[in-house]
Amino acid sequence: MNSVECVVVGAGPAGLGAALTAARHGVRVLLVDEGLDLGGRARGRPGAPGDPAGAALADDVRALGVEIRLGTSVWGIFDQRVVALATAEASDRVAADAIVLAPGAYDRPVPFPGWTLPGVITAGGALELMRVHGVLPGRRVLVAGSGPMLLTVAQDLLRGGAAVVAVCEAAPMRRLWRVAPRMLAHLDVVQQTYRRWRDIRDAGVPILTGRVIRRALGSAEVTGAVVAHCDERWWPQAGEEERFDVDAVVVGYGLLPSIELSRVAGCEHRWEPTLGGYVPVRSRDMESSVPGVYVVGDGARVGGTAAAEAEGHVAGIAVAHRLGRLEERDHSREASRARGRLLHLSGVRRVLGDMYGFGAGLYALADERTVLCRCEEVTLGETLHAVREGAAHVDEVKAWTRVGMGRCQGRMCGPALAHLIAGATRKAVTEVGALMPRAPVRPVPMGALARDASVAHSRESR
Amino acid sequence: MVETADVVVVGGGVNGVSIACALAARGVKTVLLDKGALAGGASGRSSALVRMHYTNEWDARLAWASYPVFAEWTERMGRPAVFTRTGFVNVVAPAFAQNLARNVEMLRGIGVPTTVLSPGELRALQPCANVEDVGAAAYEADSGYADPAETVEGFRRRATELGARIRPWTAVTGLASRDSRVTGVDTAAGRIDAGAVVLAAGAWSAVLARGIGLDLPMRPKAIDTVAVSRPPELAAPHMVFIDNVLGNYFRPEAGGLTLVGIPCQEWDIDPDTLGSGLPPGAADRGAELLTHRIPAMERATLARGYRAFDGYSDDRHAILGLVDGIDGLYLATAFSGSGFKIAPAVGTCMAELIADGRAKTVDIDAFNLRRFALGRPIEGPHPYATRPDHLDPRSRPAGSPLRD
Repeated sequence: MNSVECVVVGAGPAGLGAALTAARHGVRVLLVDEGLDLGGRARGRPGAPGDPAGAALADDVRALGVEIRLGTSVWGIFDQRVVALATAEASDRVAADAIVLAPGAYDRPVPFPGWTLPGVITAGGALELMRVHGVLPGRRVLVAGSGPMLLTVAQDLLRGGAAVVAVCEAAPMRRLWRVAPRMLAHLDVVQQTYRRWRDIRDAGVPILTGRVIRRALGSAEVTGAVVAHCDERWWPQAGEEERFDVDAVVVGYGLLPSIELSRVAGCEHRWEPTLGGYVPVRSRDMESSVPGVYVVGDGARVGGTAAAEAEGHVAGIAVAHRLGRLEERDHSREASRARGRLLHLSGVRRVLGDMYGFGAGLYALADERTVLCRCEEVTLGETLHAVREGAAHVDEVKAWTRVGMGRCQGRMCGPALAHLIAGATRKAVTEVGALMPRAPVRPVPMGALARDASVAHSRESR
Repeated sequence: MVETADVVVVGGGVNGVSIACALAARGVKTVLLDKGALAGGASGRSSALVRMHYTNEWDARLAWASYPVFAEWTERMGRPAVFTRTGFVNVVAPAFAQNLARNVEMLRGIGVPTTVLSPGELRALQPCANVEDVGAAAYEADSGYADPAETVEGFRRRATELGARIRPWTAVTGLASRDSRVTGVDTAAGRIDAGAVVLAAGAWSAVLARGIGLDLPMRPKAIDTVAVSRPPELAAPHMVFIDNVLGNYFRPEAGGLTLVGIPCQEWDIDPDTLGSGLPPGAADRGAELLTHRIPAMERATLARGYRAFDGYSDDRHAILGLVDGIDGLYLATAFSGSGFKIAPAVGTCMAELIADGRAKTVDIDAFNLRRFALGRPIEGPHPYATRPDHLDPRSRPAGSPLRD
């Protein structure tokens, strides 16, 4: 088995930051990403490696001689720090002294009636379509969700020539006044958001607050969407509905960290109520409960590009220290400077969290016929039936209905499933368990694995 | 007040619920307890092969008596079908072709429709298979696999309808005994007095038995399985294969998947703390075995992998029946990774044994615990190569635990 000092998984801002800092201190780094270019999913977003500042970060990483493997997925982590890698042709395992996980985040899947119709797309998916592939998701689009990302999507849609019928923000307007004083420390963010809001409003697009998507309409594809008023916790209120004729619905109720790899690595996770999901437990050096395994960026706590990169730096310093490349004194000086920068950036994150904090009402949108598990096509009705029959734990419902057994290993249905079972059994979400991802967290070609096994055998026999 | 029952069944796997169902059908007041969810042990992650091919007649008879229950599930249980008929082959190396022919003869003798295939005939039936190292195959056209969760659920429903009390999430903390007689069980919620206790707790059985001073010759072992997505050229489901040449099995699964069993020699695991993830190397080994037998699987993708476990006895066969010297205790455990397909008949036979004093559907005497003390392990006269999954590299060879 090959070995390397540090494997960084994910070449978005967080992974690049960690690779850069560790390599600068002389650590031998292997940087792995599924994509075909550095930059991760943030590519093409302001401040990310797609724009000049981000491209510079990627160039710096290349210049330092970091070994880069693109088009390569990490499908498992074994024995604490053995990383299993695979491309379309080959598989390989690498033993590492330190692992930095920077897997990023994904759009929170929200099951509501019609969410599986073609034309219903996530905010992240819409941004990728427009910015990476130059494709508009539709001509008449409703944007529903929560957070500043909605404004980004709406602005991109307008620039691309689409008609945006409305932007529906779930957070009530009055929350803004509550968090406003604390936003003064982050005027740059305020100004940027305000400018977007003004542009959208000036284009004649209604920006409705305190509204959630209620259902998407259509048979073969989406033809309409209904939104409803909602309360502070995003519970839809009966009676007050509005209907829009559309050919696309963009849904963006925040991002969830991709925790499959930190789960598979055996890291401890905790429930984060403001997120409505699990996050890895970390030290102030970004180290997880598994020694030598660090988790940074949106994959640990969604905070955006700048905070992700700053976390990467903190982890990079910690890795260098762990491997003996940093004297104690230099380490504490560098670490405290990096943490200071992060502290400032986390301020924005906390304020945005208070403004757009997750509301559990979102998971009350689905009805009995709504498909909950898209891989195995299990409806909410089937799931609730299992609960009525006595299933009280995520694993029991999984065994009975096959929910979460498919290819995505519960990435799509897991968060909603736990909330729905908890609601039906009147328990706390943390009491009903969680779907546990297992290796392979990504599909791996069997041919590649078989070749790897025969190589391992010939090595043993030598 | 102390709760009472005629029989307490400890363990809600497929054999436990089948026994509870058969007891309740006879009007026996039955309580089934499981420390977690039903099918939370070996059953839930079983590949649930339904086949009759064994090298010993006793297992074969249990499997054959169970087959109609799987095949006629809807008629018998009033629930959606659990059985998928795919056809089954057991392939062996040339050195064991003779033994295979004898076993097929034995199976035909007890009524199982099965034939011997030459490598060429196997190839004609399954053109995707590589038969270069195959000596012969035993073919069962009617065999296949079952849906383990739905099977356990069907038994649970039927048992409940018949009056059994089925209680998941109720841990048995110990067997209660007095003067060499088991009198009930202790649970976190209190004592349950019973005329008989059936220990069907799979990998957890040995610990519970040890609580009353009974040492069972069984050990918990891990079981590794991967699921792969077949490439488009293998879209149509293949047959269930037990590959005795390489020492593994594979079977189709819904959604274009194939489940592959990987030999695993991790013994004496703790079922409460064992992770459900695969160890490093298991997936590679599975890929190597599968692509050797079905070369086109080279273009399949590994979709998921999981680790299960079961209690394995010293001769890798179930322990069924009474315990000499202990009254009121019945064993239905140590199924050794092969208990799913025989569960319906095990339920019937155990109920007969408890209620009538003798199992008549199938004679299960050979499975009694005393076989180990008597030096009579279960072993057919015409064995194949020992399955690598049954070996413990650190101890004596399996299958002959008491003869040397």
